[in-house]
Amino acid sequence: MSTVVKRKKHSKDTESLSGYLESWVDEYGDSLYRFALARVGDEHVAEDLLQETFLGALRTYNEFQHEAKIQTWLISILQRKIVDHYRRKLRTQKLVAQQAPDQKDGQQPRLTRRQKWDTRPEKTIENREFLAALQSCLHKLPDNLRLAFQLRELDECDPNEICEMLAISNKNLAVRVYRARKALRDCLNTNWFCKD
Amino acid sequence: MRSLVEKICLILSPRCEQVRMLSSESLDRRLTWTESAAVRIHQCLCWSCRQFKRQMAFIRKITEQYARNELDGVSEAKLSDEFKQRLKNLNG
Repeated sequence: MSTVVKRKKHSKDTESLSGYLESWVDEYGDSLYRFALARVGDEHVAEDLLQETFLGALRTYNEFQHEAKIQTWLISILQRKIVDHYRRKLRTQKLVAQQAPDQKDGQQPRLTRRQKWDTRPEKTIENREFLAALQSCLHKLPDNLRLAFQLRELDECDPNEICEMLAISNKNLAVRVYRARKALRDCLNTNWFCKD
Repeated sequence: MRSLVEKICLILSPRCEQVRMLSSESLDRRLTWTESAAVRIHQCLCWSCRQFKRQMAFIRKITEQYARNELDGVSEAKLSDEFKQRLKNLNG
């Protein structure tokens, strides 16, 4: 292929990619942003991750097989970016894997019959105050527990897939998810269910 | 693999912590016969472990709903027009 033809093809590809990018941003930008924000809890980090996601999407669009929906494909890229973000954060913070706040026995809120866990979660989640309490509790989880919990519960990833992503064993994942669930339960007990 | 003695001990006298861990794991994988028996027997006798199991199920449901709401736009967070434009110019 001559250089001129190559150049023409390249500019045509760039134009069509720009068109795709515009439609992705318009169609999925907000939902991807909320996805990232719910998982990292910081607007600027969520925006950075979104930017990295769209750049990644542009780079790998030619390899995209169109077997999945565009939104699913973009979410999978964003998920990887979120995992990378936490890896970087954990590396700098040197967090110890087993740092769950629930380990301090003396400070654990105790279960009592006074607590009323609503039997209808779908109603509870509609309450804005509860939503704020849930978000705050999710963001209080130590990063290593939060990442495992998010991938398992919010993103509904398969446990084996998560182990591969985080390079940990199944047992380690089970322990992290258990500690995260317990810490979340304790936090909700303190911030919501015991509220007068 | 657990030895026979370990299995019997698990069924007859599991600790609350062990049972809670297994309750949590039961949301992610099928428990073995021994584990399942240990959890059921213990939960028949222990109110707080029964409560823990209910709470785990509750947490699963609310997080499922929470994740769905985030994508469906129930939450109000939106990108600014300026940032959207910046994203659209990424290829330029």
